[in-house]
Amino acid sequence: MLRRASHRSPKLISRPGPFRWAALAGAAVTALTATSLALGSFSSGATGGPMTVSSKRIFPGSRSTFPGDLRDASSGSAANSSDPLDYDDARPAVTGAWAAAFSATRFYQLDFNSPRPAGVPASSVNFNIKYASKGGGGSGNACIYKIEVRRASDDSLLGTLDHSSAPLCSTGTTYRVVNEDISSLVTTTDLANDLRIKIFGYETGAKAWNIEYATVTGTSYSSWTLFEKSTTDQSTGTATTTPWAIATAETTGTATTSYTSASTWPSAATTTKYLQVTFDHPDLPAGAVVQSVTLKDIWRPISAVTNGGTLCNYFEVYNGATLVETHGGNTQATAQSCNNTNVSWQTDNVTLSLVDTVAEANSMTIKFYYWVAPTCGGGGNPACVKSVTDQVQATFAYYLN
Amino acid sequence: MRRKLLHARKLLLSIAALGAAASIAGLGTFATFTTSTSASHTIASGTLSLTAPFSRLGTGASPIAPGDTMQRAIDLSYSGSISLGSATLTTNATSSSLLDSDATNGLQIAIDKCSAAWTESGPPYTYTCGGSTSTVLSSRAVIGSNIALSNLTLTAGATDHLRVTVTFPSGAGNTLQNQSSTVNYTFTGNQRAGTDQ
Repeated sequence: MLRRASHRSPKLISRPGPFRWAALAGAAVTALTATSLALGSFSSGATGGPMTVSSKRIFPGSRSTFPGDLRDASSGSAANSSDPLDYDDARPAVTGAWAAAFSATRFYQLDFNSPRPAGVPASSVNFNIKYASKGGGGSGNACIYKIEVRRASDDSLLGTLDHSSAPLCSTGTTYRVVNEDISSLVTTTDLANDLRIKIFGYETGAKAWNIEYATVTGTSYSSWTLFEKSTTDQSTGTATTTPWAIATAETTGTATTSYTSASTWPSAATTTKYLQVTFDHPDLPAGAVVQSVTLKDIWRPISAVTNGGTLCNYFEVYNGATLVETHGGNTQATAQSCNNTNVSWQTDNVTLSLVDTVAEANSMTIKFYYWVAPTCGGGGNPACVKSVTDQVQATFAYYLN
Repeated sequence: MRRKLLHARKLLLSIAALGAAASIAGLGTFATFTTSTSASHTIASGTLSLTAPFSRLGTGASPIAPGDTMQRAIDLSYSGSISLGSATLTTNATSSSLLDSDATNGLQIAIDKCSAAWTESGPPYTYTCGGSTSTVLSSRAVIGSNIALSNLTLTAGATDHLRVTVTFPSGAGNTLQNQSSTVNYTFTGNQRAGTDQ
């Protein structure tokens, strides 16, 4: 047998026979079966849910703004002292004298307030401006060459509305209203809260402009309006920055950064003499839940109140014409606060606990009544003084389900 | 020619083998003295069953704000005849948003167990434990697969009383406003290891 086997060809010896193939296949099946048995086990499951969870449309948070509308009745007769750029009230802001043609170094820049809740989509966002030549001898037309939309925080450019091929011109002193759609540039309230508009223009007679208003409007669950908090007028080529007097706390007391009452205050509080501010654009959306409203008022006398006198105030909060609440009384002992120095600023932070609805928050008017206690004027008495207001600010804490 | 010879030889060998086997079988058949014994036993497999006879996990919450928590009780019952060796939780979102996809600022889940049934109040549901509590799952992102659960009884016939706490982190930013997610929960029990029986 061995000898015969030795006569086999190498090819025949190496080829597996049918029994070997069967053995290999059997071994493979056995191995796979053993493996599957080893991995198998009993299991059982139970399910819970589905649980649907939704978040609020606007998270709870505080949003602050300042009033644009200011009425000064320190004389006993109310005068409109509002921000001239906020309202169509025939009280325009006046620029410097422009060049007669476009210049890259001449512009009028507005930084806006930041009252919107963050992180909300914005739509229908428009920059609205009403402007004209201020007129005067040799004046022409007020023309907008281009408008840049920027972030106020870092001056980064969001986009340009280029009208260089057809500048937007008024006809002389007749106002032109321009509503520029900037929705594609200002897509969220984060951007709206950090907005700068830079207007490059000229006046064909190289004269000044009147700007009746310049605001930004938009929608985020409800419509809103932004007011300027600071302007930089570089129409002349030289920049002049002017904040809205009561928008921010500079505590410098300079005329351009604070508001000085038109008249001195009397020796006794009277309902006919007051400073009135209206927060007409907190723009809380319908359905919002108001958690709290606080008022901050930073003020002092324009000069020291001598001879034992002091300047005092109290204030009333209105919803339109309806009195909501009063803080302080009309005597020195009951006043909201008193301050006899023109060095230190009095800061009043007051919670307005009865302003607890969207309607009350969105049309909140404050009347500040000032007087010099115990009396002023006349021999031996302290002089009656004006007040200086550095900032009036309301903070609204709310959310929207 | 050589291949034909080989096949013939295999055929003869096979016939011889079959013949030998038949002869042996025949010898056995004709033996006179025989003896035998027999025994039998019944082997039946057990059952493994994990059920949730009580669950509040189907109760959603809306609208939530950062810092909110949602407590929901669920009982896991091991009603089969075989104890479990381990249990896992798998969650998935059938409707997804940042609430479930943001692992850091989105919803977080934690599970603890009470040795007795939780005492429920609400809605909104909150629970107190009259016995002792232990952590089944430490806080983590709400979505995950085969998340190991600890400190469960897992014994056949027993029930674990669980409280699932879903938290919306207080640090969640405004990008998580106006979001909505639907989360499903699947608890899976696996049998104990095999033993001598």
